[in-house]
Amino acid sequence: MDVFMSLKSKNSRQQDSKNVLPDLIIPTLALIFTIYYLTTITEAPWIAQASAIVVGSILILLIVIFFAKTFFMVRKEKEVVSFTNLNLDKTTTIKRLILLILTLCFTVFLEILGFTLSAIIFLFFAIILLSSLKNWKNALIISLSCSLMGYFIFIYIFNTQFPRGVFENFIERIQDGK
Amino acid sequence: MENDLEIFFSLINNTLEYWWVIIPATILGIVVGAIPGFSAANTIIVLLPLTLSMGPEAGMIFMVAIYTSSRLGAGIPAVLVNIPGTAGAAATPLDGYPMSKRGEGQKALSISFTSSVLGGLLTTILALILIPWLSQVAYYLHSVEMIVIMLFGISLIATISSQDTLKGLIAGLFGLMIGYIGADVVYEIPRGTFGFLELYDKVPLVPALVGLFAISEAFVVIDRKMVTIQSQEKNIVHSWQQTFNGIKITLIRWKHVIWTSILGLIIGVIPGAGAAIASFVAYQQSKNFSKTPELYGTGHPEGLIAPESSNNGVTSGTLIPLLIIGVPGGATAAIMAVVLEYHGVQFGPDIFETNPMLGYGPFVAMGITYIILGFLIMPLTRYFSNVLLIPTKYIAPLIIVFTLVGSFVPRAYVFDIYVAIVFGIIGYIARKTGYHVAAILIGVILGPMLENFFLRALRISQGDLTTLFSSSLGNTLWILLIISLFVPSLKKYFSKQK
Amino acid sequence: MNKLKRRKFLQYSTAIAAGSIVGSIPSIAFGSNFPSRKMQAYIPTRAGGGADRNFRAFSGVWSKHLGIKFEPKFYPGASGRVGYETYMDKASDDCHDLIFGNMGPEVLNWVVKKPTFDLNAYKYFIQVDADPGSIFISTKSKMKTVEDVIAEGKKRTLTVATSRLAHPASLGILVLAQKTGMKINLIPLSGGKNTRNGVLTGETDLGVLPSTTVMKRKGLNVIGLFDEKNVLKKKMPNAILVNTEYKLGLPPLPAGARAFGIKTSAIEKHPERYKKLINSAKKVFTDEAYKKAVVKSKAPLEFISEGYEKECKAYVENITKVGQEYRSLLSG
Repeated sequence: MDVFMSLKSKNSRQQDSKNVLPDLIIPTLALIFTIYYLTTITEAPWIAQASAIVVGSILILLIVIFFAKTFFMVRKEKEVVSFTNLNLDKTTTIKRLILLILTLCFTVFLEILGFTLSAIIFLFFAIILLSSLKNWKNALIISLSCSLMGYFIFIYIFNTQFPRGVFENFIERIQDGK
Repeated sequence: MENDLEIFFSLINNTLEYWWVIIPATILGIVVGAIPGFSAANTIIVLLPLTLSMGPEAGMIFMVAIYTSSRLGAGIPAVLVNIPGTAGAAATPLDGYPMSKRGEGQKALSISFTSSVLGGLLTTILALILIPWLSQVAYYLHSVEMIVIMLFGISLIATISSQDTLKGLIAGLFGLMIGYIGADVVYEIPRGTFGFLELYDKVPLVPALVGLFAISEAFVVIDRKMVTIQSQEKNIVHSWQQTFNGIKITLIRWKHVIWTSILGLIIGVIPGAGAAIASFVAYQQSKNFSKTPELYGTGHPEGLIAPESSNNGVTSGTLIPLLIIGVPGGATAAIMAVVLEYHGVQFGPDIFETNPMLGYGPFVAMGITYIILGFLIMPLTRYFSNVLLIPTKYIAPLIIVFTLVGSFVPRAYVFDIYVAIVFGIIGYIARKTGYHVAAILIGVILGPMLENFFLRALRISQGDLTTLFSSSLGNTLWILLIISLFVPSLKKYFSKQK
Repeated sequence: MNKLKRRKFLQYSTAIAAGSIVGSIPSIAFGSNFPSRKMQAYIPTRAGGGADRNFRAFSGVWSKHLGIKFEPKFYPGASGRVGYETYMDKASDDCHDLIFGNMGPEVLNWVVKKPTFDLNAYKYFIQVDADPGSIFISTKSKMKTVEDVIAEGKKRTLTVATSRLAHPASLGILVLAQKTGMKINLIPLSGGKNTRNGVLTGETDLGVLPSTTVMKRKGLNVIGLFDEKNVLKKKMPNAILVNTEYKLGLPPLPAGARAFGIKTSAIEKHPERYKKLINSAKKVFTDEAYKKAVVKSKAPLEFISEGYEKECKAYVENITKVGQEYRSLLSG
């Protein structure tokens, strides 16, 4: 509960600027998904379609109302159509995109290198991205210590099902050797 | 009755065996509660890999202890620096902050903690007593009633949590549709799976949760430089006298604690209406009934007791619908649902008979946490003035690393990490444009349940849709649902008329 | 805490395996020192479910006789379809990768809807248990016996809770309905707990499930078994033997018949390894440790059922035959 309550205050702050186009992204996604979903159930017996059709059509109806409402607001020139609301400034936007790409790389590396090594690499670059190159010493210290701590707590002590790779197997082998 | 007591004591014993979980979780909860924007829900998600590896009992106790103690932690910055640690403490600064401005910060903290502990403890015990009766209700609920309850839950969460009802409903129903992904239970036809075998068995909940809450949070948080609390050292006068004074002030007003906490308990049971609403309602009601309403807002003890004891009443209330019918009362309960579901725990009234440790255990753990908190937090009131600074450049990448791996843990599919990233993007856009991630998540959780009940009802009636309106209990719920949907807009309409 | 230990064991074995893949390539060529890496069991249901417990009890002892650990991999979804498809797709055919499933519902599933792979591409070869399907009612129900149920079913359509349509227990009640002329409407509720609750809340008139999940449950009464003998009379005193009583002409088709399966290509490539698997499994059934493990998993000892390729084949053939006969009813 807390999470979305605090969110609310965050969002209401942002509502001050009256750009509406970003607000349409979620309904659009929902609309596309709902239509796609409905196309996948055409073969099903109707009682298996019923709930999706009911919920789906209510959702579509709500989205249409929302679009209509937005349209009339724009016509009354109460709101401006633009995307600026979503992106507060350019550098953070670029940073955010790079962070997303780094995140995807992290996922790819996880399969190959295992948790510890990919975490070190990701944390190092992500911290530098969010601060600056000058900060590389701190970035190195934090990425090394946090990843190793993560390895120690989650893998070594708790044996959690973390992705394993070169490093994890190496340690395991050393242990077996003894 | 004697037998019940026996079970009760064995439950306490059993829970105490998990002291190694409760104590660290309690301390952690206080700390994270005190960091604005870093709620219990977030913490539980970051520590998900740990929670999942612990086994259902320890995991549940861990989550409950963090949840409970973060409530108290959230009062600290609210009282000292006028920033509520979580939304549940939003009404706390109204009278808490003026008090600490007067140099009575420690007294204010002491009042806040005492009323929290007493209110929380009282409602927890009350919940324990009521649950055997409440759970019987679930045996009278057939699929038709369950359908309405699900819809009720989703619409309440959507309308109460959002300032824009329409947006809230869109988010909730979008969640439901996402929850419909997978093969249906009767004919096993895959629907909406984009051809992925990994989605046949519904959308995996842990990745959905991680994406919607944690990944999106990490991307939002980098707008800010710091997640901080600034301390104003001068407001604190260190003395034990203030602490004891605060305890005394609260104890004298025991009636106040009792009724505001029970109010919190009731509000907590309603899906969607959480601590923030409870604390404001309690504050308002306490002011209405007060003999000295003019003192509210100037540092009046009752103005601090009301929100604190009621928001702690919510804590146990929100677990009740989750355990009895599997409908989470709010975001934190939704996260608990995800973890328990991973462990194969199935909710329902018989959980209290077949697995009392999981049914009653959370409440017992909550009570114990409150008792520990009572002893732990009072002495600590002296040290809470220190500055807490966490630069986002470190916290955001750390959140990403540990929660993404957490989404891998349950099924060990790398596919699930990509699911988390997709939900992260959806969650980020949703947060930025005023849609509630919690509404989406609860939709994703309720979707499959709703669909199962729907299919079941239709199958039993052999395809007759009117079965949805065939029971009197169900029809009563339908009427309530419709009223609840239209009240907000009617209210808006009438307030405009004025 | 058990969970912790379990995971520890799991992870430990994962790491050993991953580490030894590289080192084990030459030994495959010789084939003599099988198993050369940890065994993997694909389980088409959820972790923590009945199959999981069952698997742990058996594999724990089996690994002792085979000299290597087992690692379960869970692929739940679509009544086992996800698990089988993944097994056929990803598992290697060097006899190290097995599938552990419930022959009854899973084979019936193929009858209703063919999988993407060839049905002869895998084979069950070690059966571990046999749990008869049961008919149960709420103790509050007006009906008390199978006879009452049939009489009532001739007056109106009875709703019958079941785990899923393509399930031996569903098959049993369908055959009973057809032989006696009662009318039933099967309500699949996915999973034992939901099925029990459907009966407990009175939403359905009766239910059918494998007997282990219903016997001794508060508020429920097992009134009939789809079997030829009641090996657990103590726990199900009111259960009549429906197969013989109503002359259903059904072969014994336990609703729970868990078994290990393997790719047929693996058997062809490595007959000596296949033999080793069977011989080591035989030792499990005579091992006292296995009985202890079964008791610990809370399954009745009476349902342990030792079977190999021949028994499994008979079961699969029987259920396929009966399933095909009632195919239209099983698909909803």
